[in-house]
Amino acid sequence: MKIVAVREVEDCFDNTVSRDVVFDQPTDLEFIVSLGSLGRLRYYHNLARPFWRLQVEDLFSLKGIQRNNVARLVFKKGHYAESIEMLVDAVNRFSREHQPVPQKLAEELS
Amino acid sequence: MSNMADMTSRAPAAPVGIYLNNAATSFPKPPEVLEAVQQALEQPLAEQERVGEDSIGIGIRSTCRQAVANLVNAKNANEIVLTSGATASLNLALLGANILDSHVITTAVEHNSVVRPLHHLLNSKKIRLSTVGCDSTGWVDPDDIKAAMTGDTRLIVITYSSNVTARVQEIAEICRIAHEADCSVLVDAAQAAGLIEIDVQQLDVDMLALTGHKSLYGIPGAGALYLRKGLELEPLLHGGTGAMGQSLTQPRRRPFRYEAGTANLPGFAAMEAGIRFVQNTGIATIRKREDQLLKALAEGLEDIEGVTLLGYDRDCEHLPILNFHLDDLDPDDVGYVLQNSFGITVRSGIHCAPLIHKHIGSHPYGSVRVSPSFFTSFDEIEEFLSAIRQMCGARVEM
Repeated sequence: MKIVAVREVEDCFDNTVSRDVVFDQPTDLEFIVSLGSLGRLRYYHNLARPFWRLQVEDLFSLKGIQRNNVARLVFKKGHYAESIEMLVDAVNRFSREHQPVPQKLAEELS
Repeated sequence: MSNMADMTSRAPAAPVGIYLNNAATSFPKPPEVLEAVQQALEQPLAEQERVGEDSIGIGIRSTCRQAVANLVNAKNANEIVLTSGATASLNLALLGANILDSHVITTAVEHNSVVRPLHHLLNSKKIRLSTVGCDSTGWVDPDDIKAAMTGDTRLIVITYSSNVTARVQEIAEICRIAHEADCSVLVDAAQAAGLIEIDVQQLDVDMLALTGHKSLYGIPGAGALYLRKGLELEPLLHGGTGAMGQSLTQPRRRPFRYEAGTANLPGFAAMEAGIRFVQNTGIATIRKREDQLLKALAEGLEDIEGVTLLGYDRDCEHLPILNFHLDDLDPDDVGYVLQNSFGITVRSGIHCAPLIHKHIGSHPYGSVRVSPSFFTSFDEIEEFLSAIRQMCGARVEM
């Protein structure tokens, strides 16, 4: 998994900026769960296409739909470099380690 | 009901997904609007717009101007200025009005198309400004406007119906109060045009801004300003008008005075066709259907645990716009999930109306706004409600 593009997104809020982060492949549960190491991860499993949202306190949030290859990054003004660096590190770490989802969690979410 | 089904089935097939963001721009458009745009583009535009020394003609602009005049019951088509939309109309009215060094009143329910030009004038120290509050449904009490008036209040600016709560304001009463004090009234009818029978003479409005691309079913880039005969504005644009070309300055005659530059003729053709669609269908018929859709939306959402309606009171008059939030998800997340997981387009956030949210309980994150159109089906409303039901209580914390 790697980030291949970051696109600007229009939004209405004055203190935050949004970008769409494009991955080279669809986001699967394994990848989404791995992002939980960065902050608080919420996973809305009961939807036609599950939604997930990562909140990294005081820095950024990242949200997406499982199996999409795009996620929405919302960061505080002036914190883009720090946010994207943290995200790139997490993506690279996932690619290296490729941790499988714990069996118990996979059963709970299936 | 079968007649209604016939009418709504005339809408062109929508692409995949459900569109519930008609308060921003209506979709789909009636066939006559699409045909009007195509016809306008099928021959050289200049040939379709022969403007003479008098403004009476059969060109696209003249026809559109007359259609808008009929829609709002203006006495004369020359009381209509064609613009690029409600924002342009409001900017012309606010920046062109003779209100320098005077007091202006506006309200907390306004869109940024009113808020920003007024704050530009305020920050340039050209006007003094009072902003009157509203109740939890976005209703502005005319008595509060009266109380805010000072000896030199020259203009009251208010929306006919908020783009957030869609509560309908008491425009006639506000005009009465204003005119008692020799003050003018500018009404933003961007949401109202096409859903309310507007009669500028009966309301006694001085200026009224509207746009073609919402409930008039036109395309973006075309709008109008009703400017009562006798009221004059300073034009914001100076340039070619297609008439009186020898004059080195902007002609004083309407409509040329306010319509410099090459016009968006496909846009005005679309607006005229949209108005024709609205009038042939009947505003009462359109409104009745959309009220039924609003009722279905409101009742459906009220039945879902975890949903809170915002700014809505079933006993008050609202246009078909509904706002809500979910206990468990930010409005922005709700919009994102609806779009990306269910293919349903709504609008989330503050809706370019920054002041109303403190009054309706949606500050600072705003709300999720759902706005059907005449072409929305009840099945689509049910699908939307089903998506919201799924979203409530679907979370797992990791």
